[in-house]
Amino acid sequence: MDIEIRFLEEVTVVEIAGSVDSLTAETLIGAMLGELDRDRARLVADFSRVEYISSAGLRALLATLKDARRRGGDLRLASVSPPVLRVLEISGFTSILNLFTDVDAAVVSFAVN
Amino acid sequence: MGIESSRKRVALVIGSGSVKCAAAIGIQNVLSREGIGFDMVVGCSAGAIYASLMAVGHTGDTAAQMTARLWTKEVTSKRNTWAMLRAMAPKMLGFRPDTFGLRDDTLIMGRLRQTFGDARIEDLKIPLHITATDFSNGELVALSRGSLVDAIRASIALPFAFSPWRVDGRLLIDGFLSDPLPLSVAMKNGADVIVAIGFESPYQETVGSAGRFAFQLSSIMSNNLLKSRFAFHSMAHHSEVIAILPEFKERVKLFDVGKLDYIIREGELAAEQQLPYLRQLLAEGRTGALSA
Amino acid sequence: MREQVAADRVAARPSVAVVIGSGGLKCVAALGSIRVLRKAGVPIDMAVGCSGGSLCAAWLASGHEDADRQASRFVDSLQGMFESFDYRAVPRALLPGVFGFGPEFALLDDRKVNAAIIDAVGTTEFSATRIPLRIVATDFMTGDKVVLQHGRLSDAIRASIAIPLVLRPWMVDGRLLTDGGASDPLPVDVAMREGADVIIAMGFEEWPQAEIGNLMQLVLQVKTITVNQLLRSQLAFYSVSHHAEVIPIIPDLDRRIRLGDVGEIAYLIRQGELAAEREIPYLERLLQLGAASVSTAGPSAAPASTAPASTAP
Repeated sequence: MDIEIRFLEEVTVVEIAGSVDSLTAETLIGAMLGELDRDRARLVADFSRVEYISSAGLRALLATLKDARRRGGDLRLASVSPPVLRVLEISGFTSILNLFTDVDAAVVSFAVN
Repeated sequence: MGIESSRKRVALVIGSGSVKCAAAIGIQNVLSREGIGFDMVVGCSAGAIYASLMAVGHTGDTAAQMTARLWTKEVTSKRNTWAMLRAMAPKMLGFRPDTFGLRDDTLIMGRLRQTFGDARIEDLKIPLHITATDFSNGELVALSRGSLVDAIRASIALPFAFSPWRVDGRLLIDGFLSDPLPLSVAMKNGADVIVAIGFESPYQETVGSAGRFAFQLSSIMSNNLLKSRFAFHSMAHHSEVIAILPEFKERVKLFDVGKLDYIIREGELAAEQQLPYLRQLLAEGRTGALSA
Repeated sequence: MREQVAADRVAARPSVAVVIGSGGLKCVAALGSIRVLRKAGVPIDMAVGCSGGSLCAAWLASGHEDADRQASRFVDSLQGMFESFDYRAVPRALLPGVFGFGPEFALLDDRKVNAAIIDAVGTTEFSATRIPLRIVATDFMTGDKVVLQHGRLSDAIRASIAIPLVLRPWMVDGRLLTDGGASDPLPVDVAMREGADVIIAMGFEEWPQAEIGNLMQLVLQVKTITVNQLLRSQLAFYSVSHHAEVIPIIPDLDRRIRLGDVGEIAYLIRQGELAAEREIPYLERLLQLGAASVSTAGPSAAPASTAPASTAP
């Protein structure tokens, strides 16, 4: 799994590629929490190149979501592929966080608030 | 990074429970005495009625009076004979699922219109979200805009009892089928502290007919859904979920409007128990340290 | 758990459970999924079954060598069980005051079903299975989940598969039990409590009605909504509340499968295979399959248990 981070003015975009599972979840959490620690709590996770997510991956996502919200920010997902979306739906994640068709839409949604 | 307000946003979520949902009026009484207002209200099934009364801006006393007139046994007493006939001879008489309901809804609709008129959800004093279930795929549908009466009618559209209700081109049924206590809607709309009141469906004392059998089964599954959704959402929420659980020592049946005062009082008692913790949470400010 | 598994744990291989949930005839798809797992060398240390899945789980736990022959016997049993199902009687029973039926009302001939079960598992007891087996039913009076792990498999399966209105509830140890799916269509927590690190959860979603032209179809639509919601809500909770790696295998079906649709069995098995194949790449990495040897994976990082449990309070 690879992670690349882009900084926009108020929002941090985290681009994730590969599989988010028990073997890679710690790396992802480390990167996300790193941003949160730097007071950048408005996160957009670009899921366009995420192929797979396991329950361990879901837990990593959840930990990040809660921390971001506690700091007054949020974690929003963009460009989730159909198979990954199915996992998010079955696991109840689509009911608790906001998904967007692309990164721009997700970034703009922070401004609307 | 500017955080707009350092005050925590408080949401009230009222789950399904027929007349027991009136306990939410008790919660309203206690909190308004403390000067604590709700930043949003979410209602499911009968809970949608109480959530609406609150969102419109009625005080607890007014809401209690209006409830006594609104939610009585007569609401489900009139049979929809034509629907029954259609059910028994579908091909001959033309069965239509979108209009099928064993109970006539004229009375409840009349009363809802009398209570809420033409009100639109987006115009109300407090942001309101009413939940229903999409009849075609079972998904939860949150209604945050549009006709208030239509939203409530959809939320209480218990299958077989009342016919499904069309809102914005979607055929909707009772909200409890997708989630009897929809914390998720509060979470998605930026709530911090969530005050939740919900009820389990009653189990049958004896199961002597296929009908009671079906009710028993329905209660079993609905209660399991309630518990697992609640557990998941509480765990996934970044802030506190305060569950208000009134103890009804007396048995309260679905339309026991005669017990309204008792129900509201139990709601007050249960809310008072949570008050110290709630005060502490709100004193902490929005990004204050929360308990580990 | 058993000695073999204990030895494997010392060698740091994660323990693997297979949970097969409720789904009527759709449960036969699990056969296809299991075939794919076996081919990839995935070790299976325990089996949990619920409702229709209980028959499949029992077959899995018995671990017969001649998998294909056993598989076709298992398919025959399921087929035998559901073939004679007649849906049309249901709505008449439910319309108020029209007909009166007692709690023992059921639409399938009990004797046929019991015979099919005995044919599949005989008088085998839980203690005789090759790997640990758990079967889940629901207490009819309280709605509680009941985990069966002693006595005859046939009793447990018959209780677990007591689909309401289809089969009458079954008494086990003084408790009236009904379909396990009513409390939890995919009981992953049972495997969690037994200490499984990786849980392969085979669940089945119901397909909504294409059109609803009569009361029975309305009843089924409401049932579909209820079952799917319950399946998802339980799975969601388990996935985040526990450190075990839960891997759902839920076949993508493009059509509604009714209890008596035995002509769809080949299609179901194929969908089960396809759904399992999607999970193999991760399972291979997770369990280090194909590396040296499966059960002596050495002092690996035991990946499943180091999954970050940082779901804060």
